[in-house]
Amino acid sequence: MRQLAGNMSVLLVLLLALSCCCVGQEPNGATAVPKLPETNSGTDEKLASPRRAQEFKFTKVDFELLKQADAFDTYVEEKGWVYNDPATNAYLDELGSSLVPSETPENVKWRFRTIRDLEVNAFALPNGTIYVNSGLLSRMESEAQVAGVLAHEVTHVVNRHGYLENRSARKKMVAIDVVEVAARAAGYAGVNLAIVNAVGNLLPMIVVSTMFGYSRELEHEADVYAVNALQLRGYDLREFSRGFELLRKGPEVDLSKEPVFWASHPKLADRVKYVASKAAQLQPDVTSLRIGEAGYRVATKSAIRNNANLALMLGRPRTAAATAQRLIAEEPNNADNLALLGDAYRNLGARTPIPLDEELTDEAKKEARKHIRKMTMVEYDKALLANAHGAERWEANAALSEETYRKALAMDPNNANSHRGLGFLYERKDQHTTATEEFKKYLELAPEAKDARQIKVHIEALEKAAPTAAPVPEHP
Amino acid sequence: MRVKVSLVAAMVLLWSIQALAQFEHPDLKSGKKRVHSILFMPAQVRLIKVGMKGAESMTEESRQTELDLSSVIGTVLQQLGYKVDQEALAPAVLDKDSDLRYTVDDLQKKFDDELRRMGRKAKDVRKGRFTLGDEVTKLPAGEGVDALLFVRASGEVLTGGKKAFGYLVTGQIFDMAIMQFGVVDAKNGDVLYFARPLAFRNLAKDSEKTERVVKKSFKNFAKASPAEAASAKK
Repeated sequence: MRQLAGNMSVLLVLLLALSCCCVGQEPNGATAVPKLPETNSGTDEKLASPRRAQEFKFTKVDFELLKQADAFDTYVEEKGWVYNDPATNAYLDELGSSLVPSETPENVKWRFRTIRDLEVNAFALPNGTIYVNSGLLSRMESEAQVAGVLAHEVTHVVNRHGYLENRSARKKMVAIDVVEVAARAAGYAGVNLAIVNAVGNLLPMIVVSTMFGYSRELEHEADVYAVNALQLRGYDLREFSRGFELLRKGPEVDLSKEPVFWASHPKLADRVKYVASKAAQLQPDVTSLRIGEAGYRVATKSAIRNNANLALMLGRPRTAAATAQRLIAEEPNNADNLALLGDAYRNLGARTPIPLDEELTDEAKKEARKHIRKMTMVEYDKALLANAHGAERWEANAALSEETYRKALAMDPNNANSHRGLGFLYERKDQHTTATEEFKKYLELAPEAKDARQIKVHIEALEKAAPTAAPVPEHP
Repeated sequence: MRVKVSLVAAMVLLWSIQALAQFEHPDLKSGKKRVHSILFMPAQVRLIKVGMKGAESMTEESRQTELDLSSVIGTVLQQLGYKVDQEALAPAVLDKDSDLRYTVDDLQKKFDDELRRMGRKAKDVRKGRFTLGDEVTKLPAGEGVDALLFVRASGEVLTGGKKAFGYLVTGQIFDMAIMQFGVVDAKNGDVLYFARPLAFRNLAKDSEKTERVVKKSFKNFAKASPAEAASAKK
């Protein structure tokens, strides 16, 4: 029976996944989307509540889910998963608030939050909290793109998709297995599924839909609303479509088997088509449309930087490199951004900054998945280094890293992070004396640094070791 | 029916044997590394209630269990002569310091990442294979301690209906909780000790029984405890 339940749940997950694939087609009269005035200028015009929101009647089960969602909000806050940067919060709140309907639905309190997670995803809880992963913020390039994501998620709240899915899931006894299967399906190498697992455990009934997508009809409904909302607020719809494209092209090799909704390739392809067709139809003149690149970058840079550091820590240096390059494009004269890029190059080890074609084959992905599942981060790095061209690639990355740190120091000779990075680089290259000097400079410049104790341990080890001794293992 | 019950029983037995296993770092076993003081990282407990209509979260109960379980472990370790610090990273402290909260979360993430591999091949802890890296030294509260303790637990609490259904059909008739305890060197991040006890009950209730399970799961760790060392000297 358990096995049967497991099989059924696999089937259910597959059905859910398949059902989300063809969102480019208009379902026949099934959607409950408001008719919004078609305008291409940013106006204060109010967004109307969709029909379904007005018709929805709360039951005991819904109140229970609402309570769980509220508890989840408190839980993630306490655990430090929410990134509480005032600038990012204020920006998301303002942007999100401009996209919600004028009438706040019953039992909804709008909150827009960043969650510290590398996955490119966003999800909405039925109580009105919308979480945008820092991974998604890092991938997006403009306000219009994020506005599309938020407006889409707003629809899930307004149209009570969470409650509807919850009611429907309760009819299926296998719900708990669905959670397991969904988490297992995506739980692969390099994929940090802390949030998926947490939602799975804390809000089990709606995990599949919030993380992996609702039914085709509901997702389409959300896209239709998003398109209308963006149109009403004067955002360029092409940006929404371009946002989808950006989600498809990540800097890492995608090793997940069932990607979370916003990173789900086949579904995205259809959605790109839909939004592009709407853009052509509704916005023939693009001259006065809003994109909001500069404002977006400034407001979210702290969250993006935090995401890059998270990527470095969790063994995704390619993500860190791509993110650092974005930060540099925004602030070319910021030495810390260059130091971050130097860190990313250093941590690439024997990887190329951008995945090679040979890494993108199914066979190579399967192999990589196996290795990452079995090997620790240090072991995997060593294995890559032992591959053909491994040493050569490391040399190239080390050179790039050094050059970048030097550039940062030319810009600001007192840039502590560059000295720290050089310390680690020279330590890895067995240049103990230079490494020690760089570490000492770092401590001089940043005596109160969070990692001062870590650096002191390295200095101590370097001073004890003979110049020819094996390098101290590096943990960036 | 009988075959099904036997099968479930056999699986439970196998699982229990595996769950009783404890894994020590070679340096801890050999006595090269001694642990005297332990800093508690905030525990992470996830309990869900499973009924005939699916699963529901038990967020409040999970939160309370995090505190209760930490307290039980603290008592057990103190009895073994370890100096434990459960206050440095208490919720009230983290509420006031978001930087510290992020640092703690980063280390928790790092532990979870390593846990995936430890779960697959826990016996490699005995080879000293797993480490969180010396990033653990970024934790200011970790400066004066020898080790950090990570606690994970997840459990299913079955409703009466689900248990009845289990008797008749699926064979799953107990509440269940899997715990994972990892003791990590506060200086270099090496995983010194790992245990994953199993409890066939609701973890949110009856902390006395939990204490027994916890005690058993630290049996091998007790061999390297200050209390043991003191009695050996005598």
